[in-house]
Amino acid sequence: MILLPATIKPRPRRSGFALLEMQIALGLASLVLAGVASFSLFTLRSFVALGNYSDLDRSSRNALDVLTRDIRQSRELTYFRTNKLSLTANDMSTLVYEYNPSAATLTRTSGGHSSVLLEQCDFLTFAIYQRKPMADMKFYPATNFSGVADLSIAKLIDVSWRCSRTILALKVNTESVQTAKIVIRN
Amino acid sequence: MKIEPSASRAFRRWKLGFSLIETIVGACILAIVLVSFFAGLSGSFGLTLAARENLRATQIMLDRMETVRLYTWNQLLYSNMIPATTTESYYPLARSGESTGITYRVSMVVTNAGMNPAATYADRLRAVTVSVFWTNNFGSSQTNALVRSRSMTTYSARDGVQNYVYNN
Repeated sequence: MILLPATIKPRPRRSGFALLEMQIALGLASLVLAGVASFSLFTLRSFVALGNYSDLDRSSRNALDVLTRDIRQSRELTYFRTNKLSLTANDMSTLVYEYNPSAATLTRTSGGHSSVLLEQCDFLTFAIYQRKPMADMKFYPATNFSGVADLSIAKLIDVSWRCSRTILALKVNTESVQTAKIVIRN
Repeated sequence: MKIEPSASRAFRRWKLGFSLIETIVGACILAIVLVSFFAGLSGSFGLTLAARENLRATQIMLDRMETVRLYTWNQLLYSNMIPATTTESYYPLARSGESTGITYRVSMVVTNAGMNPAATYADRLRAVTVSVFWTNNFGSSQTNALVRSRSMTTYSARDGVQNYVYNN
């Protein structure tokens, strides 16, 4: 009988990962994680975009409602620029709408109180027209013979704007365009 | 020493991982969850798009209705100043290189106002109807196009509505 020394007794197998196994596992894990990350990002962007659309529609509808009510009820137009309107309201108070391109806001001022109707507004312009229509439902601009705006003949106010929102600090196409013609009912 | 066979079997079972049935059931549940999620997301975008198109259609109709107020009786009835059909784009402020979006077909009809019961001033009253039509797949094949439409009607009176109210 031969006795083996203790040092050469077979050691128990110590299980672990081989280098190849580790590399494959890491590769698979990377793929799965990349998929999960892109899925999460896509989901996040989608939800933010939906929220932006909803917010744009809500604010634009509100602004258009207020603007329409004020212009319809006003007595006369007293000041006009493509970014600013001043009206005499039905109660003889002064009503001012001003678009600030640098702040990208449309502000309504009445009786010393200002309120912001539109935010993150990239573009807004006013135009004024006479009451006399042309063909194809177009109207003559409210200008005199020299081409200068004549407020005394202004009857129709056209307003157009475009607002947008950002997603992850990037301006994407969550834009809302509003355009309307409003008749002064004086 | 006696080794408990049950513990040994449990250990071996733990080392086996998932069975085929477990994997199939898990994958099916995951697939159902993901498909439902994306269907919900897609549906939300579809609804939002439909709401925005509808809003723009309403704007176009209001725009037409507003300007009708400036037409005289003769211009409304006896001139060709109101075209029967025109087109409007979803995005009229599009800059160079930008898409103008879907196209709306706008029709405008001036008809006799159907009064029930009949009114003596009916011949001095007209109904103005603006209708807007658009499809859901502008730019692609129109084979499966779903036509959407909205319409709005208002009345226009020769001498103004108030005269009729107070004189009749």
